[in-house]
Amino acid sequence: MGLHFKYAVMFALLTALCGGTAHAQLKGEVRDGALVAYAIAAPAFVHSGDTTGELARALTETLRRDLDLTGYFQVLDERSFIEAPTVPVDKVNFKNWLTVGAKGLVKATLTGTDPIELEMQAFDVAGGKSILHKKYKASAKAIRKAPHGFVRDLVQALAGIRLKFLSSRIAFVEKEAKTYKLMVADFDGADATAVVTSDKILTLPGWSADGTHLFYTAYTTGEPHLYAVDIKSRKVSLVSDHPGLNTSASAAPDGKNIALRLSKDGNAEIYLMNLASKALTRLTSNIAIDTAPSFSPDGKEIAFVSNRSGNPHIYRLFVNDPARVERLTDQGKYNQDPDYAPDGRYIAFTGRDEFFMFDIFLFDLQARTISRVTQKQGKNENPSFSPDGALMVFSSDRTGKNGIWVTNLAGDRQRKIYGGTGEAITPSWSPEVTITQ
Amino acid sequence: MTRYGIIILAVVAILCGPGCGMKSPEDERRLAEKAFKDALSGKDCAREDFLAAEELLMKAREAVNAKRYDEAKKLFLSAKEKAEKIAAYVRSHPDECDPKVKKEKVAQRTAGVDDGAISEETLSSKDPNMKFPVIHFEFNEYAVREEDKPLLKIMAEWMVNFPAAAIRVEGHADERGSIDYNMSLGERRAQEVRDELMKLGVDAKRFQIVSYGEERPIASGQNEDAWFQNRRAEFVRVN
Repeated sequence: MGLHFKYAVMFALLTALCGGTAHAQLKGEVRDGALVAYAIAAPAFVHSGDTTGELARALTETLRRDLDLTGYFQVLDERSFIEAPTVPVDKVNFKNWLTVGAKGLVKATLTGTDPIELEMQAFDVAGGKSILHKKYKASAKAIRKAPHGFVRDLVQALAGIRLKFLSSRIAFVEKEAKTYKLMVADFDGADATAVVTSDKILTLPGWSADGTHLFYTAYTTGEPHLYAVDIKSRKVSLVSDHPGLNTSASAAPDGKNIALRLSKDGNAEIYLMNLASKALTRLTSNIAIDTAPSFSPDGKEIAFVSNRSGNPHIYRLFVNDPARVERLTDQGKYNQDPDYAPDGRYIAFTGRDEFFMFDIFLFDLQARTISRVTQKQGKNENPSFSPDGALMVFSSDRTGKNGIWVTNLAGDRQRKIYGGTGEAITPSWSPEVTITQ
Repeated sequence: MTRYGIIILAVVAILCGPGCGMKSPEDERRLAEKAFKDALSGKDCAREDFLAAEELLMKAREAVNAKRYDEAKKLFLSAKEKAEKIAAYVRSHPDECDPKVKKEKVAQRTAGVDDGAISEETLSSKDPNMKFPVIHFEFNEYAVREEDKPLLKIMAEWMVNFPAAAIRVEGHADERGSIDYNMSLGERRAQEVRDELMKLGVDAKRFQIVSYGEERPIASGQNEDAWFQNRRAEFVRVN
């Protein structure tokens, strides 16, 4: 889709790919996606002229945040650095970086005003060798996203893993007084914009399989109908307006179908809808509430919520044999909002614990165990996996107001990415997309 | 050989203590049964844990009967742990678990909510402009409470008296729990209310149902009183 922006295509130059040792270094320290303290120094970006000072600071900040978010790096405090950031790459004394405990070093220089040229290079400090060298040329606006691609390529070079979240977006609803905004932001909370604004209820956004559209429910006519909005053109189209609830769309990986909750037959059930023909297949048949579908990555299963046992719990059904339903959670009394992980191993959900607190939990489909992700930090709800499964986004009111947070699966690295003037809720993480403009 | 045999026996005896694996775990049984007794008041409010503890206890007794003592011991310990958890829950949630406190609480807030304007006594089903009652629900429930049935009776009478009126039943949930699930809770509440009115002779065609989930609270605050007021079904005349 439309790469018609003047500097849309950043041209990159890969001079040195991973040295075998560096590759093994980071890879060896990855344990189940758990945090790895690969200490990295990211000194301030160097810029020429006063006009790009603020941009240089913003880019430095973006790089450090990205490195931190991946979970693979421990970003060192610049106050401990010995060597000035302005030392050119060919004059770097690697001993200065070894002394401050850095295993890796990223240097970056900005030149020009608009377009901006940005050169970034990562080094293995012990070996004094270049790991990754890239040059970008883009508008002052578009260049802000260059660190995302650099960090993605750096992790790829060091660990052989593609972190898709570094090119992805997050959608959520922001509610303030009587105004509802359907928001889309980059995964780090940058460029948050309202794609739909309404004085009627907007709720429960979910991405299309290709990340170009958002499904959401709006009470535009007074009834909860399902719509889709093209996030680029902002064009809205009606998807489903059956009597009752039309909500909770989860895109099938094939892009042709969605699972959704309809109550047209008198009771909330999960249906499969073909997006082209609008033909429906009913998947659940139960007098209980069945809702909140989430497709498995292979499209064969759907995780959902049902209160058929008396309280809401997480179940899964098999699309080709929907009568085959399996209950997954048997702990707690109030488990909701399942989200199937991209690797198919986990289902994240919101659970209410014995102290009546709402928190994020993971159901491990292999081990059949539940682990806790958030605890004693306010109300945490609506988990949604990043497209690589490395992170989850969720809403939390731990700072008083609901904001959008991301966490690793272990829950020991939680970061706030968005906090606005309203209540930011029901986040949904996009598939991998191009986020540069 | 015999010397080694004696050493092995001695080691086994030291490791296991007297009667290892051969004696019924009476201490564990006693402690588990006592803990279970203390957890009885959690039978309803911590129902799932209670059922689990009960099952563990049953399995442990079966294991004793089958002389699988090690297994029985572990099961008794788990049952005790579970029962202690229930007892702790009962202590920290008197609103839910103590029938006396629960009843008082319900009476209090019902009185609070119905204070003044809307109660059976003040409603007249002959008044064309009757102010419609608001029906309230327990947490995570959609069954109409006995104490609200007289209000529905008056509402049904009104609908019989004014047969041209069409009514939208709006269902709501409190802020707790997921936005998604709460939309269904709100819908079920509105449906239950409609079904009660249908049982009282009102034609199904005169109703519309809409759920606003947790989006339209009438009381702010994060406490049971506010939540109770927000878990409701309202009537709106649409013609």
